[in-house]
Amino acid sequence: MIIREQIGIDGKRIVEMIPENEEDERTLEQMAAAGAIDARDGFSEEPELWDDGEPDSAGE
Amino acid sequence: MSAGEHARAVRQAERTERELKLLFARLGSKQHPRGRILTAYRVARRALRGDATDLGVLGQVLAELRMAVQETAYSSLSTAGQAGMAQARTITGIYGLPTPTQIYTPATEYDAWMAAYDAQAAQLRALAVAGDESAILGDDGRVGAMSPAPIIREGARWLTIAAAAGMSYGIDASLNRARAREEWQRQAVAAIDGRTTDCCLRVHGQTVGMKESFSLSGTPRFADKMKDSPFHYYCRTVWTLVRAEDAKDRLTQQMQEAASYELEQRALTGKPGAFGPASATSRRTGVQVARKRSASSKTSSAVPNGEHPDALLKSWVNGAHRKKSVLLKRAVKEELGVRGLVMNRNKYTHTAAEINASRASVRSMYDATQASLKGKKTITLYRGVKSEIRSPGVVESWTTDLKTARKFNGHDVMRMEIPVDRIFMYSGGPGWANGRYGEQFEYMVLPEAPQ
Repeated sequence: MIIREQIGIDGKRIVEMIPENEEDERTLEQMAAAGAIDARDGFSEEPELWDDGEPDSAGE
Repeated sequence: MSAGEHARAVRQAERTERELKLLFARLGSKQHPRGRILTAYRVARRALRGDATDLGVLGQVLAELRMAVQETAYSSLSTAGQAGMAQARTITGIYGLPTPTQIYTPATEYDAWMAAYDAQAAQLRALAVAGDESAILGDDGRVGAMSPAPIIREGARWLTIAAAAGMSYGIDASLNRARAREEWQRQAVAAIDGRTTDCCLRVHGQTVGMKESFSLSGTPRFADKMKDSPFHYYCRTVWTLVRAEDAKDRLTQQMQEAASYELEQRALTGKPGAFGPASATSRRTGVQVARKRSASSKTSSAVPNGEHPDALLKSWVNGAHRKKSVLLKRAVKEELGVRGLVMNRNKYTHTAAEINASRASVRSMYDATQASLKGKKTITLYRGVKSEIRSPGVVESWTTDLKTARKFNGHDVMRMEIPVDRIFMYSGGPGWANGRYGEQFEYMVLPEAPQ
């Protein structure tokens, strides 16, 4: 497992864990499923942050 | 203050523009020969053939034609006015302003449109008295005075006015109720596609005070300074509300860049419309380039069995957990050889053959992006982090806009100078099209450079 440390713009520590093999991947997936790590990837994973309650236009 | 608010306000303007486009089509044109007014005129002209100078017959046909125009004018103007009001209601919601409750009735627009019809009908009666049927109905190759074109053109003009008036009416009512001390501006938003005029491309993204006029420089235009659209016949440009402090933000810059690009490409190629962006801000700059390249490259010749790049991107920007998005992540991992998590919360499965088939698409997406970024070394990007420990995805969303990143916060926000060889695709780059969440200034970033 590759471990990298960063400091966020608000000064907090952020630890990045990058899998090097399948076993690492399984470990991280379990941690993600348990909510122990942030493993979101795309912005579109969280539509509630963007929806404005309007249905999509049927126009185009 | 939020780039997200601004982007959503622009999206609302785009919705009104789409509504106007549909309404214009409903009137009739070469592309829409079954439009209501065009059809009504066709029927009327046929009925008059041989009897156009008979005042009794003419009067009856004109009365029926008037009813058809009247009905279309009434329903279309109501729809346009409601579209403007709906835009105002949603935008006030976005900015937390009081919701306008009044109803806008486009009665003066209706009168003006019908006045154009009545003027034409008066001319036709005069020509009938003179006994000249060919002046009324024309001949082979000439349409005569009984032409639907001026009535449709006037109608399109009043539809845009009704939509703009509905929007202005709603926003004014809301701001008056709020007695807001904040500074607001109006921003012109053009519908950028193959039919956008030079005039509207040049005004796209321009911001002015609430009482000020837009400065127009392109063609065609009704005047050099106009407070509101339409700026010319068949104009779909509308305005949206923007906080004064956001008027010159990155989104505005992107809008103006997108319009400038369209103008440049038209000047270079002499082909208006061949380079139309998918939205107010995203350029299809690389699509043609990428497709031309893919047609001749070995990697992209394998695409037929895999997912097309457009389909993979569309899935990603609309739902990173969708099946095609997971396929994209798996193909990125295989083709680019990067380490990182393939998040797959819905446990979708793909065969090795499916993944391999999409590797060529992934390669063409990456190569087109890299070609467009040639000469740049790094890009400053942000990403919100929810907890102290995180695991980067095999491809993940970052943004140039700190406010967007903060939406995904919870713990802190990372700021990094990302080397361009880690950029897979980006908003405004080759082949990019925003998804249903609009402009997020997104960059799809790889956890490391491809192997």
